[in-house]
Amino acid sequence: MKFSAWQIKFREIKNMQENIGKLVQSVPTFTAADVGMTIYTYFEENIHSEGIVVLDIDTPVGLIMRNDFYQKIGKQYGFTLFIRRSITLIMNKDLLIVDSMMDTVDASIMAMNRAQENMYDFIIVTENGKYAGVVSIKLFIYELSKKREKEIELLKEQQETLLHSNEMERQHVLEMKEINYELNLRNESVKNLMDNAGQGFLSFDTDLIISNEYSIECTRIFQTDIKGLNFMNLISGFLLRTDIRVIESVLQSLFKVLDKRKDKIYLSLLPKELNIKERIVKFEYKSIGDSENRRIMLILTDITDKKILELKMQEQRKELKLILKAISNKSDFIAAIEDYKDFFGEKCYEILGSNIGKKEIISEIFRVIHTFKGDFSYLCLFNTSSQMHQIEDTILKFTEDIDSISMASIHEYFEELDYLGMMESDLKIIYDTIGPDYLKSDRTYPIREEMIVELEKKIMEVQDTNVCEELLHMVRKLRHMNVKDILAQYNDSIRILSEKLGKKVADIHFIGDDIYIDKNKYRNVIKTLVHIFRNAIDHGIETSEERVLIGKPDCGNIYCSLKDLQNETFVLSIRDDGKGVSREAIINKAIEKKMIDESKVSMLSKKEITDIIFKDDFSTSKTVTVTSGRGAGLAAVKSEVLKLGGDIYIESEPGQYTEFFIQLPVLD
Amino acid sequence: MGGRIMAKIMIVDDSLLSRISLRMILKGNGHEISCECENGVEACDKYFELRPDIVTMDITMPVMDGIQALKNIIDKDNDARIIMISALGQEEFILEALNNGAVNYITKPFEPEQIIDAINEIFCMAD
Repeated sequence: MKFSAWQIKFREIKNMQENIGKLVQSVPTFTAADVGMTIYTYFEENIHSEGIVVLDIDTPVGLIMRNDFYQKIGKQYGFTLFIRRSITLIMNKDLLIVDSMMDTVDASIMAMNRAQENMYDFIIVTENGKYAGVVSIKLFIYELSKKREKEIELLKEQQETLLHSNEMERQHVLEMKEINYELNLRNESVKNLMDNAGQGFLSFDTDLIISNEYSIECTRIFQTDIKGLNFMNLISGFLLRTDIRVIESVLQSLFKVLDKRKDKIYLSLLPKELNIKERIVKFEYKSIGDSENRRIMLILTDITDKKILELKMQEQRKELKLILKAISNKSDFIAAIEDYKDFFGEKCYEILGSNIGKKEIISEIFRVIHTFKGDFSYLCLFNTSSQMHQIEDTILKFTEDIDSISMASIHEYFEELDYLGMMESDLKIIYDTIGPDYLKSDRTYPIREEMIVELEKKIMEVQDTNVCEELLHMVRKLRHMNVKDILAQYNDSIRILSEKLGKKVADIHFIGDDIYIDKNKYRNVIKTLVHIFRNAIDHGIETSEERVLIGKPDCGNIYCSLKDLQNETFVLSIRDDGKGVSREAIINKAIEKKMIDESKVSMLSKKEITDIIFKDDFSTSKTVTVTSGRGAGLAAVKSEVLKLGGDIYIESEPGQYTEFFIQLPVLD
Repeated sequence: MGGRIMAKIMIVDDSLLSRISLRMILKGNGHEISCECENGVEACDKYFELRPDIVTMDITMPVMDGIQALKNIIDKDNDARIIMISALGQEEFILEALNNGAVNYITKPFEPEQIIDAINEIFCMAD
């Protein structure tokens, strides 16, 4: 099955995490029967050997590191004491044994937590419980630093794209490189490595007490000694009260829920950035250890400088996005602003005055404002959207004091809201760039050629190539025609046809993205779409009488939705709210027409059945009418769509709707 | 675009704009929309009628909110796979949803990849 094939694929991807197994080396092994002399000879002959492992068949029982060995035999009587006796006397039995599947970072934490004198001992790796080899801390540090190098590479790339990248930033990269070089020096301890990485590392378990292993950067960030502090106490000063509650509950849930796969989702609810002592600090979290001994590791990075640059760029980008969105989604804009004014000017007072109860009134208003918030952010009216967020906050406060607050004061709050002023800053961007009358008329607005050139110039200033491409693409589309406008030309024939058939059908409702195409390249497909509209009116939408009888509004509707899929394709869907396509009728007709074999009907999928209507000479209408011909029209649509490299399919719910989905490539 | 996972997905959201956008993203990636609901009550009824593979559930809705609908569905079908759709600043609700059996969450406004990733992750988790 498709399903399980994908599961396997995902599992493979999951397994691509870096496991400690990748770093395993093999070193000579000895047994309890060997004596000190054997080891001495071995170390003398192999001066680069760091150490050896003592095995009992395939179970690791001890470790002898070179330095440790020489230290022990170098003591008074040491040589005589150990040289002829079993190596079990001299070996270190306190081993760090990990499974080869363990994550490298988890293993590093465990290695770091060892006593100072054992810090450089091998990590012993087992596979299915059997000895597999060792990981040398030397190699380990080297690997960690390589990772670091990759991160620096990324940082560097990012910096090159930042507009105002300056000396400071470049110096930062140099510093990082220096640190990296230092990291390659083998005598660095893991702790040192963390300190020099310029990042704060700390960890805690269920009691939230920060453990003793943390890097110096933490002290710099918090400007206090964090040793033994409770994590919540440490950060609560930098949080809002509601955030504190959320974080506390997230941490509680995290330590309680045993399903480790959910950790990532829970961790994503924790703050990703905090303002600490006037610096912006990035917080990354990692859950380490197994379900019983869960620890949370935090990686803190001071990103203040980078952030300031990013913010500047972001503002510019937001403005451009808003302008382009306003140009390409004008109708959505006008509708949303109208709804907004309507609500704050009138509707909200209707709700406030209704007798559904205080609590209901507040939650109804909250819901509407919440929807505005989402819609405005979709329309790139970011400032207005964040104003909605603030109103939400106030309403939430009302809910908290629901008993003491009076309806009059809620009323007063809304009356005093400067809702027009809240939109001002966003609208000003549109007015200043496109023109003060832009949003006044609902019809198309002539965009001057110079303005497009101007916009293109502005966009070129955005140095982020991805964003730049995206915005340029939007501007170029301005020269093309909106699919909605092209299809709106069918409204006349829809009116004529429905009148002829004695049906009531409204003008096409357009929803979704504004997609601009070069009309000529789609000419044939557009021409054949008439068959879909005809089908909708002739076979789909019922007469007013029929509709009223089954509880539908008397007037039938046709909806055209458009969605830009961003990957060089778009989808046009044409949906009518008529009686739908009866699969049974299709089958009967197809059998009658000898298009399918009756015995094979049970083997057909839903899709295969509905797809029959795209075949030549098929018509589901009982009588072949002049308007809808013989149904060959749908076959024509399909063939034109396929010619352009697109696809078409149909979905229908008997009694409710028929919807055609037409996927087409963007032809520039 | 070779072999891809096809899931039957139910969309629950009171915003038309959100529903259309979700529908288009999901269909565009080869998924089937089993139905669209505007509130929690509708969602509960339709869920047990249609048994979709996955539900995307808005949190703030009239009549019955997404959290209550989630609880009602999980109560009768512990294996229901529900992705919460939330707005910024709804962490407390998200947490409540996760603790009550939601598999994941997405914050509005969302990018198509976020939706697709969340759905793929469900298949990834399903062992």
